[in-house]
Amino acid sequence: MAKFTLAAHAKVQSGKDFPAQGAQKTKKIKVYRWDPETNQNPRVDSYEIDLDQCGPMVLDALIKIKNEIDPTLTFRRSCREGVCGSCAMNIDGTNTLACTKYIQDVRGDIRVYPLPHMPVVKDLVPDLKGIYQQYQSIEPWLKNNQPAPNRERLQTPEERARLDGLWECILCFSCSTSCPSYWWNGDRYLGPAVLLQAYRWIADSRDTATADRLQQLEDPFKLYRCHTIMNCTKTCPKGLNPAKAIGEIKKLQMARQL
Amino acid sequence: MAGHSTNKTTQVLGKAYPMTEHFYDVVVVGAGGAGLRATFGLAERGLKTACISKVFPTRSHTVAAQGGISAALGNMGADDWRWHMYDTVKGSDWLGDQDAIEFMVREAIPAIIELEHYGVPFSRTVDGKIYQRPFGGMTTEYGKGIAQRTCAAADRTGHAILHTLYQQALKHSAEFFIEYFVLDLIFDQQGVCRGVIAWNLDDGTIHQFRAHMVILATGGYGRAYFSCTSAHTCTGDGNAMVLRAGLPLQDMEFVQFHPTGIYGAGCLITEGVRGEGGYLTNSVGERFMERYAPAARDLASRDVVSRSMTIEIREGRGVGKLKDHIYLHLEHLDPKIIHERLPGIAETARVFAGVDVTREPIPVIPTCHYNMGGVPTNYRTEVVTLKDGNPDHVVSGLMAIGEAACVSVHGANRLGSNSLLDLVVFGRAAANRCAEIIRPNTPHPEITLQSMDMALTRLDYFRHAKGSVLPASLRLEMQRVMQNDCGVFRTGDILQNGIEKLKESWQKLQDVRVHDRSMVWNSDLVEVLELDNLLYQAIATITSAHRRQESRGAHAREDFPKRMDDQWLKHTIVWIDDQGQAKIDFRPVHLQPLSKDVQSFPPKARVY
Amino acid sequence: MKHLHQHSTGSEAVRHWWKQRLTAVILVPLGIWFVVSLLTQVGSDYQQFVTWLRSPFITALMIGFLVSLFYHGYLGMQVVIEDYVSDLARRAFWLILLKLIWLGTGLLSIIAVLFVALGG
Repeated sequence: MAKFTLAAHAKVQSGKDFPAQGAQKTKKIKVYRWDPETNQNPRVDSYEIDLDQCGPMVLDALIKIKNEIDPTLTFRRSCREGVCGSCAMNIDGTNTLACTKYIQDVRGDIRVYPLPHMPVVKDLVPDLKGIYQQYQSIEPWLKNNQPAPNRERLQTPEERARLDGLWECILCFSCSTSCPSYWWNGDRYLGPAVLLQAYRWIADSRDTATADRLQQLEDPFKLYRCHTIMNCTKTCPKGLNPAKAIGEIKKLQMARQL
Repeated sequence: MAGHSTNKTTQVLGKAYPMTEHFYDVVVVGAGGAGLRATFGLAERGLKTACISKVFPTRSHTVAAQGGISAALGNMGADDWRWHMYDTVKGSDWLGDQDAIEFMVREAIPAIIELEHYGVPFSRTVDGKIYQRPFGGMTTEYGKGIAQRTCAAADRTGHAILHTLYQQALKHSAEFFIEYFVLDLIFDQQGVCRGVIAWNLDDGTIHQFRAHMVILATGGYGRAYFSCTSAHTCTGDGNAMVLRAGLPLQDMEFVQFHPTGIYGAGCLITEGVRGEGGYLTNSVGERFMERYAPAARDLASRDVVSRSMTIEIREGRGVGKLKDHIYLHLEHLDPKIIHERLPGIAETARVFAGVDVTREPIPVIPTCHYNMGGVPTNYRTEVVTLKDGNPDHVVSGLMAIGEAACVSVHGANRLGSNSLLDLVVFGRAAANRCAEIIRPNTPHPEITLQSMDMALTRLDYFRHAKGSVLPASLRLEMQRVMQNDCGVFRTGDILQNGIEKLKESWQKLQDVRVHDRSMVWNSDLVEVLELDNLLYQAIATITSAHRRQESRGAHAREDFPKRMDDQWLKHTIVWIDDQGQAKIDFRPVHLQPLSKDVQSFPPKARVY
Repeated sequence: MKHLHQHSTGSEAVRHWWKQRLTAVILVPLGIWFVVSLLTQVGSDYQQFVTWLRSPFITALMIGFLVSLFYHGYLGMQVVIEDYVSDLARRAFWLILLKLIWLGTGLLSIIAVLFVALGG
C-alpha cells in the first residue's frame, strides 16, 4: 500500500538560523537543505533577508543568500527571466519559477522546497533524469512520411495557431511534480508536461504520425492516470493548460473507437 | 553509438580523484544551438559523439533569443543573399571576414528550410510560408529599402529552435553528458587537442573524454558585465580554456550592447518590437533616432542605436526620476499583433517592468548582450592562430562554433537575427568538416597528459581555497569595472584605470575563500571556476579595447572617434598567461569573398 | 482531421475511460429519479412501496440504476486501487477482491429487486 510516513533518515529537521543585522524591512526565507555527502537528515535553514538590499524575486533572495550569507546553498538557475525552466521549485506550497515569483506576493515567511516527489540530489536540486526519459519516450520530433519539399512545408496561420499554448512549454516540470497522480505513479504515468508535448506533435499539421502517437499513448497508465485534478494548469508558471491538452488526447482516443 | 570507458584513480596533491576515461571520435562542449546542431550532425554521419553540457540542453541561453533568424528567403518581398551579405559586412563595420560571411548567408537559406523540416513552429504568412519581419540593419538592394528577412516563431524563436534541435538530437540518439562541468582542454606535446576533462556534478566524479576533435560551443561571457541580458551561466568557459591552453582569443574588445534591455532587471526586449513598428523616445517625447539615423531610424544597427540612446541620456534627455533611461513604445500597435507576434515580451515587460505594453512604454537601457569576439576560426570552424608568421595556422583537434567562436562573421558589430543563423550554419559546418577529416572509430594514440594534472590541480586548489575574499564580492567588483570602464563609450585613461583594477581582482582571486568542500553539486566551487574564467576574458576584453585606438562598430573610443582603416582594419588577437598578463598581436581581415558569385565589398562610410 | 484509425485496437484503456463517462452520464437522470422517488415514498408502508416497485417501468429503471451505479463504482474503485497499490501482486489481489465484492453486492441488490417485483 501507499506509505504515508517518512523513513527516519528522511524526516526533515529544523536547521540553522541566519538573522539579518540592522535591517529595516526583513523577510524570512526557510529553505530545505540536504547534502548527500553527509549522513545527516534534511533540515530547514532560516535566512533573514534585508528587503531594501535585495531584488524583487525569490531567485534574487536565494542568490543573495548564496552570495552573502551561505555559499553552500545549492539550486539551479540560468536565464533569470522565466524562459529556461532551471529554477522550478516549490515556493510557499506552489511549484513555480523562482525567477518570476515576487517575494512580496508571499505572506509571512517564504518556505522553499525542491519540486515535490522527485529524488533530491542536493538542497533544491531534484533529479529529473526519469522525467527527461519520459519526454524522450514520446518521440518528440516531427515525423512526416512524405519526402521533404525543396522549400518549407506550408502551414496556414490557423493550423499554426493550433500549436499555441503547446510549443511554449519550457520543460520546468512544475506541472508534473504538482500532480498527485504523477506522485503515486510517476514511473508509468507520463504526467502533464510530457503529455502536453505529446499533444504538441499530434496537433501539428505537418506531422503524419498521429495514429502511431495515439497508439503509443493508449495505455491505462501512460495517459489515463490523469484524473482531471487540474493542479497542472493551476501551477503552470507560463500560463499553459496541460489538462486541456490531455483532454484533447482522450477525445481523439475516443474518436478512434468510433 | 556509445563510446567505451574505463575507470581509474588519479592522485592530485595526495588526494584521490576517481577518474573515468571515455573514448569518442568527437566531443562537443556545450548544448546550445550550435552545440546541438553539431552533435546530431555528427551522430547522423556515424561519428561516435559525446555532447557535454553544464546545463540540460533546453536550459542553454539560445532559448532566450527572441526576434528571429535571418535568411534571404524572400517570403515577404524580393530578397537576395548578396544583399544580406552586404548588410552583414556593413553591420560588422568591415571587420567581418567576407569569405565566412558569404558562406553563412548562402547557407542560411537551406539551413532555415532544414529547420522548418525539423519541425520549428515558425509563424506563418497567409499563404502558409515562414513569416519574416524587419530587423535592424537588414536592407534590400544594398541599403536602399527595408528588408523583411528575419524568420520568426512569434517572439520566442530561440526557444522554438533550441527545443527542435534538442528533439533532433534525441531522434538521432545522440549521447549526452548533462550537468558535467568541463574544466579544461587536454593537449599533447605537439599542441594537438586530444580531449577534455570534466567534473560530473551529479555524483562528483572526474571524467576524461578523449577525442579526435573537440568542438567548443560554450557561448559568450556576458556575465563579465554588471548589467547584461545573458543568463547566469553565460561565463564563456570555453574561451577561458583556450586562453589557459596558450591560444589567443580574437576581437574581444567588441562587446554588443543591446539597445533595449529592461531598465533595472536587464531582461531582453527584442529588436523585433521595433521591427513590428515600435519606437524609442526621450524625455521630451521626441523620436530621437530620426536625428542619428535618418533613413533606418529605430532600425539602425544596434551599436548605432545604443550610442544614440547613451548620448540622449548624457545630454539630460533621459526619462524617469533619475533621467537615466529611455522609453520604448508599442502601445500604438494593434493589440492583436502584440498577442500574435510579441506575446513573450508582453509577459516579460509585465513581470519585470510592471508595464502593460498595450498602454504604457517600456523603460529600457543599452545592456550588454553579445560578444563578437571569441576563439578565432576559419569558415570551416577550425580554430586558427598566428604561428610562425602564418595568421591562419590551424590548431589540430580543436573547433569552435557559435558565440564562443570568432569566425569572424560579425566583425565589430553583429546584426540582430544573425546569431541564431551563425549557430545553425556553423554547427552544421563543424559536423560536415569532422565527417571529412575523421574516420569513425579511429584508435586513440597513447599520450602523456600533462594538462590533465593541471586541470585537476586547479580544481583542487579552488576547492580547498581558505582565503579571505568572498567570490561573489569579487565577481561584483569585476562586473562593475567592466560596466563602468569598458561600456558603450570608452577612453584610454578610463580603460587603463580598469586594467589596473582588474589586475587587483586577479590578485584577489588567489586569496579567495570557498565554503563548500563537497564534490556533488558544489555550486560554490562551480561559481569560483566560472569567475576565474570570466576574469581571464575580462582582462582580454579591456586590454584589447585599450589597444585599439579607433572607433569601429561596437567599440567607440571617445579619444579616437574615427574609424581608421589604414591602421586598424585588422583583427586583434590576445593571449593571457597564467599571471594574467596580456599579449596582443593582429590577424588580417579576409576581404575577399569565397566565390566569384559576389564581389568584395570595400570599406566605406557607415551611415544608416 | 488526420488519419486516426489505421492502428486502433479499441484497447481496454480507452473503453474503461468512456464506460466511466457513459455510466456517469446515465447516472445523472437516474440518480435524480432515484432520490426524487425515495422522497415521494417517504411515509408509505411496505406494501405501498412494493406495489410501486412492481410496476414494470419502475422495476426496469431501478435495475438500470443499480447496474449503472455498481458498474460506475466498480470502475472508479478499480482506478483507486491502480493508483494507490503499486505492488503488482497486492494490486491483483485487491482487484479480484473488488470484483467479487462488487459483483456480489450488485447481483444481490438486483436479485432483491427482481424478487420483490416478480415474487409473491
